Amino acid sequence: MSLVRFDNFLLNYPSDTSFSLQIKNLILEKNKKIFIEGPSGCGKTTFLNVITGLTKPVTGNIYVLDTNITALNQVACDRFRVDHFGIIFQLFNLIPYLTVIENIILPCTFSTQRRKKALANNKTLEEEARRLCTELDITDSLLNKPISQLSIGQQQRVSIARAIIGQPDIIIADEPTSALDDDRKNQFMSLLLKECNTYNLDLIFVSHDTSLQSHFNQIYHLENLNNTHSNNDHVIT
Amino acid sequence: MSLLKLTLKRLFSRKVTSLLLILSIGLSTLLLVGVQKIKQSAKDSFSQSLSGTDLIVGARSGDTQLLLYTVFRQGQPIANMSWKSVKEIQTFPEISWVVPISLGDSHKGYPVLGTTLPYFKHYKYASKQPLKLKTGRLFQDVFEVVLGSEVAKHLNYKLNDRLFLAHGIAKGNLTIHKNYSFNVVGVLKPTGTPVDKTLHIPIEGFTALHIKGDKKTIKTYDLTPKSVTSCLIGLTSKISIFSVQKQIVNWKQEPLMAIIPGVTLSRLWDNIRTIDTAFFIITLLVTLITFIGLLLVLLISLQQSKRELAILRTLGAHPLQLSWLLILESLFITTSGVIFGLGLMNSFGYALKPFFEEKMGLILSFNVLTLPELYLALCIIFIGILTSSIPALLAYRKGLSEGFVSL
Ligand SMILES: Nc1ncnc2c1ncn2[C@@H]1O[C@H](COP(=O)(O)OP(=O)(O)OP(=O)(O)O)[C@@H](O)[C@H]1O
Ligand SMILES: [Mg+2]
Repeated sequence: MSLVRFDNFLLNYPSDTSFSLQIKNLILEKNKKIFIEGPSGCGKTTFLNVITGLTKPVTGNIYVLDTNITALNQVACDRFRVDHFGIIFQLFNLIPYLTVIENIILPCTFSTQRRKKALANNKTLEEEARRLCTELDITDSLLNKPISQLSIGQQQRVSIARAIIGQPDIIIADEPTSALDDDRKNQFMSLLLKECNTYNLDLIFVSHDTSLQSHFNQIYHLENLNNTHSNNDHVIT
Repeated sequence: MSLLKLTLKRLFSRKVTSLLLILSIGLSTLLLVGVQKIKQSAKDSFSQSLSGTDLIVGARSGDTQLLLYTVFRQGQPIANMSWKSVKEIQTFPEISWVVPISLGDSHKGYPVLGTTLPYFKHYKYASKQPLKLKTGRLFQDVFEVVLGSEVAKHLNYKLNDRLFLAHGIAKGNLTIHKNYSFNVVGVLKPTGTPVDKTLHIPIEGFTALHIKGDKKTIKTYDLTPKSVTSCLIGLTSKISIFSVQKQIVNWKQEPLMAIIPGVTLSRLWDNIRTIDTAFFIITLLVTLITFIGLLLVLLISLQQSKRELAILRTLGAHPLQLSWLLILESLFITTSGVIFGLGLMNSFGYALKPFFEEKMGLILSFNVLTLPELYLALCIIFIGILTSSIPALLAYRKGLSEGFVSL
């Protein structure tokens, strides 16, 4: 079973004709730490939108864990996403008016599968969230603070907790370290990788920051994957 | 965490905006329901100023003129009718009682009404409520006066005070009948009708006022009136109302007319209704403005919460759930607004009740929510939901469309 498979995929935005993403054939394998690299504007976020089913291709199909998500309807696709993906954004990941704990358990509100898994670990969702916080060095004093008073590094660690609660299959991260300094960045990376290893989660990590490559065992250059620019098959470095 | 809890947290995070919205919807509700309430009370109190009287008889004039002058002591005075006619009408077999009324004199701006004792028994207001004494007794002697509640209160009269009456009804320099002083023997309870503003004296006293003399000699005169302003009539059976009316209209001795007070009162009210409609439209406009404000706030908040809705979408929230979030938010705001408005109305009503009763003669029942008011309140809540459906639809479409959600 492959993690993600692209089949004759093409996407372009009606409002932006200068950009298109075409991937004829690509298989991302399971049990790998995948790094996708490329300069700003090359379509990294678009790529992640596509594999999480948030953006539908013009033609072609995308298979995630052998499910053709292109064929899923809206509701099924939303359900599939929350069941199987944990998502970390670049910035402003958290809902400002919810507490740290409430933010972390939010995926369990929308996914019964993840709620069940979380409750298998602990009696209540809150306790499970607290346990993850301890793992991620989120101290108790932070739990009661408004989100806006947390540092960016702290916010990103809360985002990891939210991504991994209820153990989805795949963690998606879109430049989560771009707002962090080097120390924080390394701390973030080691925590993220530790958690992925602990729960045996696949990781698809997107960044323009090539210095992070060393943490990963499979690296793609998006520009090379995109057949719009060249006719090469994907290149593994 | 449920969608409802999420909504409440979201609302709470925007305390000031939410509170202002609740306040403005509350004030609109107060205006809308309050106006409705005052209007209804005014109508009730107006059309029930006189009940239990089947016909009012007077010299021929306009029917509203006769009514306004006899019941409300307002408008142009009308010609008198002769006492002889009154006596003859009293002999009709269909007639149960006749109460004569003489008007035209006043005391410090308040009208004086000359009548007979049965007036206090047969004059009814609201749902057939009779007049009741607050203190003292009814008049028994020629120079005794029974005051309406407002007269006693404003002019600060107590029992056994003496007062002089003036000729004419305008305020200011009137000839005062100095030779006869009247003794206050009773004060009536408030009724919310023109009775509160009236001084009641025996019809013989009214006649005496216009005879030169003094209190001692006057008793030797025949004080039976020559004429009266009008009279109130009660019938033994309502069925005869039109035949009696016809007989009076065809009266040979002098030109008379007979009106049915209820009919004329509601016709009068219809004339006032145009102003009333205008007022209602203004209130509706105020409400409209409030809801445009609500729409504005919802649209701006939608704009501001793009990121947040995107996060919810990536976490698996369905676009419909995002719409629900906005609708629930608006439902909560409008419902709290309406409840606040009704609460405000009750407390205002409670505080202003004495004012309305005294200054306007309106007896308001603020603590009960009548059915039309309940409909009005539900209507406001419904409009709130309707208003939120616009941003909700936008959120739904944006949630569905590509590009809204970006990682
Ligand atoms: N919803 C959209 N509608 C139209 N054009 C879009 C949309 N989203 C992205 N684009 C365009 O697609 C291209 C790729 O955008 P994308 O956000 O995927 O780049 P990126 O590699 O993530 O960049 P960055 O590193 O700056 O985040 C850009 O040229 C962008 O202008
Ligand atoms: Mg990007």
